[in-house]
Amino acid sequence: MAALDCGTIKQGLLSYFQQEISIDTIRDQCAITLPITTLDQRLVTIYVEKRTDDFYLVHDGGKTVSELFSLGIHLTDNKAELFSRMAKSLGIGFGDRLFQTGCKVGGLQQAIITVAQCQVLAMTDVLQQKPTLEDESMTSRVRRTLDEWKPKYINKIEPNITVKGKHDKHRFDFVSYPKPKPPHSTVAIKILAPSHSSIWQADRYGFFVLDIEKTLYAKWKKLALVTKSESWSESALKLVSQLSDETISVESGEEEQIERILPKTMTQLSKAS
Amino acid sequence: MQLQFEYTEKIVAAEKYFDISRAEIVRVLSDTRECELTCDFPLAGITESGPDTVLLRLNISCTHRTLVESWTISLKMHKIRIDGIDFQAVYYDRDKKRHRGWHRNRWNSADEEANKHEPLNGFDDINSIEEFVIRSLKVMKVTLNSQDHGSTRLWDD
Repeated sequence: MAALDCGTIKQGLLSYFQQEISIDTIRDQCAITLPITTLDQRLVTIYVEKRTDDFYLVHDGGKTVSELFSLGIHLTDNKAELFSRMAKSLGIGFGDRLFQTGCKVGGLQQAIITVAQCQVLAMTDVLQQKPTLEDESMTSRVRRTLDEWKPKYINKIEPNITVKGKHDKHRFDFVSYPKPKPPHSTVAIKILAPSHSSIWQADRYGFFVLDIEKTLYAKWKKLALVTKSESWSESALKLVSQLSDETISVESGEEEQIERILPKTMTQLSKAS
Repeated sequence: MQLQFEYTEKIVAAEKYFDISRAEIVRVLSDTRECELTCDFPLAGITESGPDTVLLRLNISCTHRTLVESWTISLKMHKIRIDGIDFQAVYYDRDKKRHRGWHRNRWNSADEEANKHEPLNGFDDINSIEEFVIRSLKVMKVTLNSQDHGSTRLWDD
């Protein structure tokens, strides 16, 4: 067996690092990019900020959390706790969504390597990412359910109906128009997802409802269809409920319930005077 | 129901409407540093069979308050990134050519993910969340609600 020349391997490795490490200045910070690839196929970049004459802040710029979020992986409390423990066990910290540590000039190399190590480890969730057919969209499910429900006394059901309020235009997702005889009510459906804030969505819906008061649309029966109800605050749900003739709330994963509840509610509202 | 990745390029090229104002996005990002929005994208004109709509998610992240280069935006379908913009100090394009800076993550139909990096101009002088939102949404053909209803209770939830 040929003798292994460890010295040559070391020299080759040093030369490789020297060639591949990139150092850049970005917004008065040193951005050091190492030849280490994350699981989402990025090269790891570490930022060094000089805070005082002999004190430096070394961090990942928030890029790890940012990239995870852009891939749809959210920083939950559990994940933040895990990152915190991971960082602590390697001698640094995780706070304000950054892997970071402070050090003097002598500790810079170790700090840079450790922040890089955390960035790589934190991306393991990427391996669990796979294309998943999201549940049929709520609009599509409601449309299909209404088509199946449509009784003889309904003239037509139309999607995306814009109505003019006193101050602004608003849009109902679906409106069911009855035939003139026998008399039934027009039912207007608004699908409400929690979006980034349920109270914001409820406030917005409140403005919508109050803005069409004293218009001809005020007579329409309003059905609010609240999705992902587990993400709504109690006060937001209460506000929506108070402003609607009927509210249907469905939790994530329970969307198929719409097909059972919606027809009954539509019949009930259509027949209400 | 089948995954509709065969229509991804058409969806990326089409205008996509999210029912939220730009000012609202900026308010949310300034406070929480990240924002996930959804829209039911109508498939009429893109496919003649299958469902009427597909759920799209728009994720915007401005984690570090001042380090604009850590900000990202991505558009996802079936939980997979189909378009996006971010910054990398060093990255390689499909021809293994080395680049630096802002780039668009373009859809690669062979890999079924947005892993084709395409250099992007006009992002180097961005200094605010609003500028980032305006420029990135324009590039990604995302339109928003022009009406801003505001909310004084945004942070009470």
